[in-house]
Amino acid sequence: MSWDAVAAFWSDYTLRTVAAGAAVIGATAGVLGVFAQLRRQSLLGDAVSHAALPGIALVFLLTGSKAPAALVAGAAATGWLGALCVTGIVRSSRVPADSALGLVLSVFFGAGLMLLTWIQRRPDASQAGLDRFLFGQAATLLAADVATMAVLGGGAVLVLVLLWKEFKLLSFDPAYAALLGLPVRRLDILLTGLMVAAVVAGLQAVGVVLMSAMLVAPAAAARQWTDRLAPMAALAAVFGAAAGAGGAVASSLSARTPTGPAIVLAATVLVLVSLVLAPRRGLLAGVWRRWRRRRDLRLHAVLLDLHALAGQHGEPTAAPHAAAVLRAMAAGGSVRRSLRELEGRGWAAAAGGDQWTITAAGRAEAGRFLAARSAAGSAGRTRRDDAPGRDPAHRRRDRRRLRPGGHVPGAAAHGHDERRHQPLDPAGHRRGLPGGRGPRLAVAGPGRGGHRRADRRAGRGAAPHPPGQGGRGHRAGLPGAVQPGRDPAGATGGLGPPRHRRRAAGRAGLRPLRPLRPRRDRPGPARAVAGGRRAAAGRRRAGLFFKELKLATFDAGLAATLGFSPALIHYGLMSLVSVTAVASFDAVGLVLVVALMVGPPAAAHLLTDRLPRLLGLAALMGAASAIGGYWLARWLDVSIAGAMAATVGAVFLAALLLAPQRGLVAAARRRAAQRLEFALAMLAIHLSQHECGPEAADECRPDRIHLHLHWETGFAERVLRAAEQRRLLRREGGLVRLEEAGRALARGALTR
Amino acid sequence: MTAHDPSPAPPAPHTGAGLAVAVHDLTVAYRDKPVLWDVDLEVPPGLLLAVVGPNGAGKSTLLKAILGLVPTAAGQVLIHGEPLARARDRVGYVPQRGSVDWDFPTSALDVVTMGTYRRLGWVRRPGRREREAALSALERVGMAAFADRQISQLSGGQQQRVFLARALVQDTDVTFMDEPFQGVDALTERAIVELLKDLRARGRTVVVVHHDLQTVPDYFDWVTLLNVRRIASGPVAEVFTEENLRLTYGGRVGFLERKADPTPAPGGRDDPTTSHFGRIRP
Repeated sequence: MSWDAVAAFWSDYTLRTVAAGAAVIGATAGVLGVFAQLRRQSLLGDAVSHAALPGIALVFLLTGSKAPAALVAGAAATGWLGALCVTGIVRSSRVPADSALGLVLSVFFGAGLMLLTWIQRRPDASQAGLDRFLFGQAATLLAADVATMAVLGGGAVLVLVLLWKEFKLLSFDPAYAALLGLPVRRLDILLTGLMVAAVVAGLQAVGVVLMSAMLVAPAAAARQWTDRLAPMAALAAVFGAAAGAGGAVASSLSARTPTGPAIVLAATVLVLVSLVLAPRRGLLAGVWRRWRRRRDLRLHAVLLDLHALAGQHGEPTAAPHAAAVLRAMAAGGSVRRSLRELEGRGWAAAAGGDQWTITAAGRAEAGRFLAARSAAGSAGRTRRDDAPGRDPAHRRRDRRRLRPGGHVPGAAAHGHDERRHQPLDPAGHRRGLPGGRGPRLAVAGPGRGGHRRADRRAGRGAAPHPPGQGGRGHRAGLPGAVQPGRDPAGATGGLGPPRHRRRAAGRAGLRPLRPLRPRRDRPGPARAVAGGRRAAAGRRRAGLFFKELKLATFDAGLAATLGFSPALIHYGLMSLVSVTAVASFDAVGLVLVVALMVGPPAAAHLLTDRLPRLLGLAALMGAASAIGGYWLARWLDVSIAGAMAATVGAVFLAALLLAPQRGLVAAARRRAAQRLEFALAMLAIHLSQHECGPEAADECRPDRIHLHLHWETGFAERVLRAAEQRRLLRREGGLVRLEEAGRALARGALTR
Repeated sequence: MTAHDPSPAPPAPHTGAGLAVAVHDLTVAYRDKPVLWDVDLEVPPGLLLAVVGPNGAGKSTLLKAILGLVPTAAGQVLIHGEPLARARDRVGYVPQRGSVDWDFPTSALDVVTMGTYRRLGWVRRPGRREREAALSALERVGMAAFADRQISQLSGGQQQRVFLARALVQDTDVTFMDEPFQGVDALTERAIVELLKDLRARGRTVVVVHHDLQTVPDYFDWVTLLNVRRIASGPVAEVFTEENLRLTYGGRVGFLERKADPTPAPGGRDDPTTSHFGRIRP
């Protein structure tokens, strides 16, 4: 950008205002988004911003005002209500958080759409401009709007900074915060309130649909670059501001780019760049790390082989060995390349004719490596400073990669290296590790194609190694190749073939998933029919793979063990979902798709536990709310999509309240009854323990019972009356006496 | 409870005077399932107490109820003779390791510094003094070298020791630890035991939820056997008998043959939801 452009930018009042406003929004949302992300509430911001729409419409309907302050207040109110609904649904029912979020989001948004279309039908034109809250219209920002945003956002950030340490503790370890005496619940509400403020501040510029991206994107990008909270928040603010200003400027350069989407696109670019380039968590860094680790393993495997050969021949710096021998020993990778790299590091030396020796430096390195390994082996995890919490998985994977070679030194270099010190059998280098055999073989089976590869290598390796009759069979890693009777690994290794077959069976069983691709060659029926067919096909497929689906949704680990591929089933499910989404998308819009996908199953899940019944009920409720919503929309002449989503919400609400077992009403009644039962039992126990002692005069006085049991006075009186009614006790001489039934109750409760 | 105070004032016998922890008639229920029934517990100051019992016996819940982290249906808790609200400065807590998000962008030193937050009060930030206190606590658990490391890059045992250091920095009279030995390596286990003995030597009280029955006599002075109700509580020599263990574990335990209670998979937690389904053995 030339200086002229900068000057032009500063002289352009509108652009300056818009950019400043967008930067303020971005910075505020970035900082608060950090906490939202760390508390796994990023999507709550999504729900809040979508839920703001009905508030805006309602305020306009009720007051006829379009003053920003009033509309923002309305947005804040329903946004807040949406957040409360999400937490309330999660806390009081079995609906998981993501479903609750999707449901609240789409239902509130649908209701907002309904109201908006209702408003738009009105004869006067005063409603013009309300729809800018959908996708935002930054170009309409005035200096006064920016000032409002700055005050709102700045206030939120100020509170956050003041209570930094409290919010940090709350996000990291709420139980500990409670222990220290912090009012956890109130802080929680305050933090959510700050987030609502940040969202609402940005609605006018970015719109309800895109605002949540501003909460999510800068924080996600910032997390990639740092491992500390304060820098992360600062960075998120910078990213947010940059995305806001950058997006605003970018949209000013091209006449047809709306500002809101441009801002969000800018933020997305920041996220992508961070995901790829970040120094430690980035994808490139990960690839580089893996590559280096693999190279180190490969080099050390060959180095240890050389070391072993040298040691076996008992020479200080051994006679040269043929590369072919090393190749036969190696688990994989190009041995010659490794040797050359070893030479480059001064650990090995070429002796001409493809012969290689280990150097003194190489021996030292091999010794150091082995020592480090065995130290790590004996001292457990803590001693290994380089073994961060997440690493074992990597290590396991690496080890597996080398496993197929089973007994070749590649594997030996991996933890079983102590045994490498044993003198090797001159007949074959793969001999002499009897102890290590069992467990290694056991893993070699399920490892990817372990048998086949080991087999092949055995074939290859046998040639350069003539004496190895024993060594050959052993290296092959085939159970029973050597001493079939005594091989302890035979039993475990023998699992291999059936496992393979099972897998194949699993795969074959899943093959019918393929026709999932929507067929385009179908003779063109009406769209709705096609949609219906596609949806039906989706359902049919869900029926076909019922068992697999059930297993994969229930326990991915078990499914994998049984030979089904959870990934495959997962993607199958995803494509089912996408087919359904495509079928209904053009008919009713994105929001409704979310509502119809989340709402009916969530409601059905409140009504039943059994999967078949659940599917049926969900389909039924989905159809019912679609038809009901359609008629509602026709009747009121409002947005069909909005009305359908709102109907889904109503159906879910009904299920949430009235479900026979899990409904809130049923639960409340049950809880009251249980509380009474429980109190009766406690009373009986209390009396049975005290009625014979000298303290009975105090412990058994009906007007003092509530003190001993720490009850409210009124509740204690109610419990006493209920107990009398059931003949658990009687009042006698100003004291309460247990009847036989009461004593039995106490005994029963105690021995329960 | 036979000691009776004749004064008409609210129930007076349980003043908890002279006791580090006094729990009276504590009852906790998750939904309709009682998790703790009418539990009494008296812990004199200056000793190490193990809370032992089968899975789902309410051990973690007992700790959380004492610390006010779960609502109680009935009962009373006194810390050094005072209700929790007035004794917050005197209690520390080492939660189970699985209870926090280890990917949180924070360092070991940062986590330990959280132990000073209560002393700091609202709004004020930890300064150099707090940092130094946290560092010396890290040193006491042998973790000073890892002060700046992001917490997910620590091994399980190291993470546990960071939690311990946080409790140390709080420097409380009574510390509650929820299975500090679970899933840690031998080195950390030794470090924890040393630390416990050090705390005892300085007159502090430590209540530990413990799983490994065999080490109870070595590590602890007192033991509480718990299975929804309190089975027994007192000095290890008197209370830790096979008879009591059988009562606790439902008669199917020859303690001398068994190595440890069948623990859940590492990271498995005793939180409200699992306890709700917790098996209470007959």
